[in-house]
Amino acid sequence: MSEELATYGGGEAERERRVVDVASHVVAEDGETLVAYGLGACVAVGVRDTVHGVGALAHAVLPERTESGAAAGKFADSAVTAMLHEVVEAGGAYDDVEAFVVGGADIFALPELPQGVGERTATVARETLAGVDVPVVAEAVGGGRGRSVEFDTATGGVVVTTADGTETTLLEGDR
Amino acid sequence: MRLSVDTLGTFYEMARQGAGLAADRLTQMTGVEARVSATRIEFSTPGDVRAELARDGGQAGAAVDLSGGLEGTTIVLFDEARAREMARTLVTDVAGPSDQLLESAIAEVCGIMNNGFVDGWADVLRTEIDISAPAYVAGPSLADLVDGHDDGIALLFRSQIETLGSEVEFEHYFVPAEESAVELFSSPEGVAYENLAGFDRVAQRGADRVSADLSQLTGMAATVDIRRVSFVALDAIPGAVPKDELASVAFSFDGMPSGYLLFLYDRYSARKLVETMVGREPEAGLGSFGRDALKEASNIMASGLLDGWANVLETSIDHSTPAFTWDMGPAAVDPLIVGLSENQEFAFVFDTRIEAADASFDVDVFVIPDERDLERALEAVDVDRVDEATANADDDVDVRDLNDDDLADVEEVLD
Repeated sequence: MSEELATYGGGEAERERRVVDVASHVVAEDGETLVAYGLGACVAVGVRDTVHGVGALAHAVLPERTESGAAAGKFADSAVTAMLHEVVEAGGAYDDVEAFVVGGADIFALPELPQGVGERTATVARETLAGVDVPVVAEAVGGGRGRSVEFDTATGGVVVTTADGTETTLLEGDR
Repeated sequence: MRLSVDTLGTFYEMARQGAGLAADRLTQMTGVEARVSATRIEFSTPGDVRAELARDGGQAGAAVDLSGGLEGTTIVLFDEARAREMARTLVTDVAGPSDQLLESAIAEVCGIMNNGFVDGWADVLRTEIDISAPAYVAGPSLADLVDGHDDGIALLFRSQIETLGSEVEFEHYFVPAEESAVELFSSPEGVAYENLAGFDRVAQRGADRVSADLSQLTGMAATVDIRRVSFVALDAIPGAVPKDELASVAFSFDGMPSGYLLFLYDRYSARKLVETMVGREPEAGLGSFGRDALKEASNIMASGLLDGWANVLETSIDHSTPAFTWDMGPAAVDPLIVGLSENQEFAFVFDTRIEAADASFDVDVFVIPDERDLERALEAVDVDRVDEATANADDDVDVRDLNDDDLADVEEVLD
């Protein structure tokens, strides 16, 4: 788990911004903005208790857990399970949680690369969430472009950016 | 002496945690938030480290001696200007701090960071390690701190700390006493250390070929900055490339070893390289013409690099056709990581920067081999014969002839 500080609003208001590294997940209890940079085939899964405002973001590499020693955030299934568990531990409730899924692109048309892994990772994330009745309320999955995602856990706002600088609001804050 | 990948994995995690702890302590001391963005282990020898430090790269830091359960020397080094800048933030209550005060602040910071690493090692080894007081070190006399046989073990943990938008790199050298090294790393199976440390020369041979090919393509002399073979967690590799939009050309390669090869060009370098090759400025985003030219240039360099490896390893390595993307650096790397992650957690990575002599463009080249293939390749190579094989390869392959053929391909693309 790692963090950095960023200043918003011309320095008048400071809010914490935490980078979610590859193969990890971060739970934010204090309204921090969680950021996953440069998702290619990787998949970011975000969950948020809309009542209590506890949010979490994972930067998953593969669909399903295969090694017991690896970080939970590396796999979509274990990342979802770990995040939901920790969100509830932090005061959230399953019934109030919504989710979003971003990433899973096929960046290179390189036949030797396993194709469609990103899509499978996203599918496993959806299935794991559906298994515990957590709705996926927004998605930006597949295609051929990399994405970065910024998740404001205070408001629930999610912005997806592509390499050319195009910003798309995936979820409006304070809906 | 042999090193197992599992042992290296343990040491990697300790290095990563040690760097994290070091960043936390920096945060506590300076009040400025810091995070570790990348850590890697590089394999060297005391002889090479001595030579490196004697060249005086303008670094400053602290050295400590270890005794008890683990014997050896460790040195934490920053770029001297950055170290002084950092030290000033610690002594803000002193107006115009003296050099002596700044140096003792640097020694204190580096000493505390070093303790983070050594505490981790002591935990893993379940032993007690005594640490001497940190001494400020700088300049070419750093080389005198390194004991040991020229061809023994010396590890370099290289980490980047990201703090308020800028990146600070620090180096942590660890030169264990010979008995400690055996106790720490020795394994009945695994990679022979001398092959691992000596593999730099194989990589150098490949990089030299890339440089020659690039010079031939562009008519400009190119220089190669090869970094050592490094051992990293796959998931740490995306963090080591710029987040900016880059032109990336990827290949897979198959043989002994197999794996992936990635060329990363920043926007300016991509445009400049294409312009130099084709004699006119490419359209915005390079256009399909420019992209084809960049793919072909990368293809030629990939052939040169892998031929360089194959010559020394006395094997053959085939590579795929190039795949291009214009995307964020980490997004270009992560599909390759995903491809390897199903079977391995760590990778031996070879990264190289090749710059045109007039600094007009540069390219970062990452070779990420399949771990088991690379182990087998390392096993097979006779490092003592690398130089001989390299010399023979020079006789066998005339780079100019190779490039004449390949340049015809470029012309075909451009026609």
